[in-house]
Amino acid sequence: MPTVNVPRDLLFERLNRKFTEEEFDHLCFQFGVELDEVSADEKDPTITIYKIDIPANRYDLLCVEGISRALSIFLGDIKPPIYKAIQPTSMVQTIVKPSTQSVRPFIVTGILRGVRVTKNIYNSIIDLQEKLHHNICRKRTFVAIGVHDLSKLTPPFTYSADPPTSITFKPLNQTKEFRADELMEFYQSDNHLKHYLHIIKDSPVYPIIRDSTGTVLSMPPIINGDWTKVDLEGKPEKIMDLFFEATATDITKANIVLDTLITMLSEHSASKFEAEATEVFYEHSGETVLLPSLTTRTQLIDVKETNSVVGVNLKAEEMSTSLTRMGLKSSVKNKGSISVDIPPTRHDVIHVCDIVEDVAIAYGYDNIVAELPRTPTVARQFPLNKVTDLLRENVAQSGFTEALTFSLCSVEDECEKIRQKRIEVEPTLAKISNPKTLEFQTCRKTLIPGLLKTIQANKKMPLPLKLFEISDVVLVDEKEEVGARNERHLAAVAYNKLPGFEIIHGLLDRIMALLEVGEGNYWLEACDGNPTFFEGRGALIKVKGKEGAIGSLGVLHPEVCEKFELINPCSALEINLERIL
Amino acid sequence: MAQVTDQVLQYLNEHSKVDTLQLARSLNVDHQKVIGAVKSLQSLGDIIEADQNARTKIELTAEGKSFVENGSHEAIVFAAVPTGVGGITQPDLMKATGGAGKIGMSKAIQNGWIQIVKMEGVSKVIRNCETIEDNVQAKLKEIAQGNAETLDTATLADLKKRKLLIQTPVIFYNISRGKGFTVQIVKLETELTPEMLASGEWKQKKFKPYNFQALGAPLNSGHLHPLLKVRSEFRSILLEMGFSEMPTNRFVESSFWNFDALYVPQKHPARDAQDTFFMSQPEKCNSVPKEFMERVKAAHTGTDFETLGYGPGWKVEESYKNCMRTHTTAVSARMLHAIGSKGEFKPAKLFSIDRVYRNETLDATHLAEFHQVEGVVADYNLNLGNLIAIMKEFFSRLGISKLRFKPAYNPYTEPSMEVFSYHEGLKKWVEVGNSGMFRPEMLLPMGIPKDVRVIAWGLSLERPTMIRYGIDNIRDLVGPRVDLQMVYNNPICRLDKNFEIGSDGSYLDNPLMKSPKRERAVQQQTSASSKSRNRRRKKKSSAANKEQEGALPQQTPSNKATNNVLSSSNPSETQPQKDNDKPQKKKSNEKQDKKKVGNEANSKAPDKKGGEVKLTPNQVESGAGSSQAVRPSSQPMTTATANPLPSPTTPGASSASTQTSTTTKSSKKKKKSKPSQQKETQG
Repeated sequence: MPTVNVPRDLLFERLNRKFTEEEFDHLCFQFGVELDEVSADEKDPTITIYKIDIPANRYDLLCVEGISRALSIFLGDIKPPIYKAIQPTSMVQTIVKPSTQSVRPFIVTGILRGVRVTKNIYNSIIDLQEKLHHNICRKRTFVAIGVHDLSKLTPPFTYSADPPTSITFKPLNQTKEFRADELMEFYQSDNHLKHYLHIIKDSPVYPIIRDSTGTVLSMPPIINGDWTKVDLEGKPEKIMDLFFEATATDITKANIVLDTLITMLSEHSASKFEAEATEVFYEHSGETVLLPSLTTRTQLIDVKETNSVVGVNLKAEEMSTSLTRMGLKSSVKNKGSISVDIPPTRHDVIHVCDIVEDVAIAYGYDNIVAELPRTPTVARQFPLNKVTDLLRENVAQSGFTEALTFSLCSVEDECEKIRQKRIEVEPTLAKISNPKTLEFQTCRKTLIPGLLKTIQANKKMPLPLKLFEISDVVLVDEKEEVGARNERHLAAVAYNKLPGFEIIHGLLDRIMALLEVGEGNYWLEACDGNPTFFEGRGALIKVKGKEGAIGSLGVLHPEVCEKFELINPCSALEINLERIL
Repeated sequence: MAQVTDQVLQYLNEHSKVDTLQLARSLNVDHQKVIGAVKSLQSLGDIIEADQNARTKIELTAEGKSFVENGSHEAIVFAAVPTGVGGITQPDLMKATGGAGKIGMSKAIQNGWIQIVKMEGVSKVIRNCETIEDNVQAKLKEIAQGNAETLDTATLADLKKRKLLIQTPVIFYNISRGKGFTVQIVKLETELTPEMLASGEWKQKKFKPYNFQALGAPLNSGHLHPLLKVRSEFRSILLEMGFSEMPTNRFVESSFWNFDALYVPQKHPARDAQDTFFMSQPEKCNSVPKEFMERVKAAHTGTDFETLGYGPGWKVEESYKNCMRTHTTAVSARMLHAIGSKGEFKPAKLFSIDRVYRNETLDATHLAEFHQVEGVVADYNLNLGNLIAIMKEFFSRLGISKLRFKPAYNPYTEPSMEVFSYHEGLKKWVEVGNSGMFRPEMLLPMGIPKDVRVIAWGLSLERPTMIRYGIDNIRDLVGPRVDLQMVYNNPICRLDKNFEIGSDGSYLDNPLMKSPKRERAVQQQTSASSKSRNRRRKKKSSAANKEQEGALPQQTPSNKATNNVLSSSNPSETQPQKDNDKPQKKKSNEKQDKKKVGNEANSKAPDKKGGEVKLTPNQVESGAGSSQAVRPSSQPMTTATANPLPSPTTPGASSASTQTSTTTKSSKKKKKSKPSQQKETQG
């Protein structure tokens, strides 16, 4: 969830209202954002900063302009603005070369004329870009934004992808020119930019935007050119024409980003909420796109259906007013339906259900009457879990204490630590490709190592330690839809001055009695093939009518004890419950 | 021993009181034996009174004792020096005085009794005076006679330095006659035996009293794990609410079921390797239901189901990637798909509690695997009010009642609500769960009918458990580093301890359950008439109530005191009290209190009536003790004593955890006050 830092006084000034912190917190909660923290500005402690948590799909709230505008509309102080892209007589054009298609195929552009840039507005432009880059742009992989001083440029622009050695320009805030490949090397040590280099580093061609004189606007998604930067030149305020470009691998997201930038900042342009349309021409397809689209979509919603989802009984007019307060300008079409305008700020609205949610928010979640659904159901437990819970109780009644250990572990836990051969075990493990630590290399297929680790961590406890766990293990199984399956196991260990084989054996007898596997219907079969157990002290558990063994038990091999730093002998039992239920 | 006991009693018979040290001297018996006798007398009840004291005991060392007998070293040396000027040579003197010589000579010189002179080139020791007073011996004699207190501390310190005496702390008793003082003691039996029962001897025997202050013997029990006890409790709550359990025994899941079927965009950050464990073996799933996948794709790309979708670029390969499931909602998706695939829709209420996985950075509140609790209701025309009611019902059974709902964003629910609860300790609202209505783009491809809506919620099992038991670090609770002592000591899981006795069935009346004919006008009436009902109920019990609250502050913390003083330290104890709380609650509390008072009162004064007896707080406090025949002694004995259950741990100030959508930040809450709607006034 993104967090936006806004100066409180600036926010209240823009809202043209004053709130106590509590009142503002309440307002945020109602609207669906969260006042997360109130702090002092790092540079100027006299400024109070509100840190506001924004839902991940509300890109229109990522700057002070957006939040204050949305809240003003919510409070009924202003009407939702209408955003327009005006077509000038001669449009600024960007020509897209086919070479871009292999690396970063899309570009979107737009212009705001006569923007009154102050220090605050400059900060807003930078912060909003930063927030968008971090969220919807996924750290510039999907979309990368550039904002330029149009007066320094000579359109039309060309967006191409060139070999790094043929690109030379002076990047933002540098004093000299770099060749692109050298620049990438240079930024290796830049704490901010080094995270984006991988996006194009291995491409034979780098994306580049130039104007008709060859001036570089940007080498997306890494850095802009220095020449075109938005610069107040130390003045408190400057009127500027701003050119916005966003290059992308995802055109849907690029359009959202461009619309968001333009709609958020257009209130500072000479003609409020108006952008100048630009043209993008794709050479390879011959397609021309007019941008920014700033389209307002109209959607009809059914009043009765909406009321039914929310659980209220609003009249069409009330509903329409509510939606308008949420920034969705609405009008009653007839008694039964409402026509809702979805402005270019609200790309989160993709379905009627998104509009319904806004009706509910405007009504207030806490005002909705709670009523239990009258859904007639008869409940059942999952049989495997039911018998598991019953068994847990009974094993605890037999004097064993329940452990709860991790189902992820290292491959070593399943192999060397219990003296199993890696070459045999590893192919049967469900393994993880991207663990952050060794502890999460694989799903476990046995429960015993977890129990031994529990003893290892609890050696200060008085003896005997008798532990058990009933939990799922995971095994690779080609027959399964996902190629792996869970299996419910029961394991127990007895740790004391003596190995206590008879205790663990007694537990097995008890479990068998509880599961109605009668005496004589199961037996132990000596097995020296299992290296986890001490020679002559390990056995397989066989059940009449079941192929193979359903589990094993025995005295742990001294080397296993050693691996888990156990200083006393230990016996253990593990069975596959699913085979005897 | 018996002899000493008799001697002690005899002495007390004559002297009424004495301290054991003095007594030991008078009886000329070892002090330890006297102590033993006192203790055995104590164990017989109130024959004697004994107050324990401590003092420093001064005893002579072997050397000190020899001083008393033979005089100090210096006196011995002095005696060995002949009178007159002739003196004695040093070696001769040493020979004559043996072990005392060396120290004795230097001390005697120090005292000015003797000196060394050179005579004709030979060193001789001569006397300086003819008589001396052996002070050291005199002092030691005093000590030997038990009069050490006559000596000043400097002297004692000096003697101690010379290793003539040692000071040891001594425990002794000041004893006096007790209420049941007698010189004739009957031998008491320790325990009932089968033989006594058989012979009837027990009728004649007297038995040693028990020490009820001692702990009971530790039992050899097994214990269930605290988190899994909470899991069992959650299971029964959900089963009670009519939810059926989903088969969630599938940890490895395909991205299709974990994400795509849930309408999570393929470019959603949750699908990054940063956040999710992907599998290297088995890397891909073997199959995905083909037709369903086509519909899912259409919903994602916005080519069907009346949605714009997430734009083009949906890839089948992404769907096939296996991962450790990030939520049990993957199984919910399978269940809903199964429901949608059947010809006829049947309403369903489903739940699960099982492990889920996140590629998290670990800290005190986050693990890479945790348990998700999830509930799903699918029925025609469900609404947000239904979801809110289920949340209120569910959380109230966890003891969390003050809820509010915040709009939120989830990729697969719309509308979505984060559930917040007021945390008394933190004095703020904290997130306890996440909920919402599944998006049509998720349900329609599954074949769920259009007018069927599905509401769902989720939370983690660990968070409320940690708060309930005051555990700060999740690793003390889950995993091999668990503190087994904590497991051993853990109480049974009672999430809402403030249950109502409710033998009148009042607990069955659920204000969130509306009668079939629901109209808004009726609701208003209801709240009005329930108010008057509240008044009636209050009135009925007010008389007894007043007296009890006035008389028994310890037993019945008044509402105000509970709210302010205790709520932050132990909210679970204080839930039902609130100024305008539900009438039923209050009534049942009174009932319980009345019962308690009644028992106390009856045991003291059985002829008086009920709980209205005016007891002072002190009487109440000492009631349990004084009703017993024998006062407990401090002597350790094997006894039967109730070992009180450990009181529930205080939920500490919980750091706000922000573990993605299904994690819980939770706390114990007070009951939210709301007008209760009575069944009989409706319809």
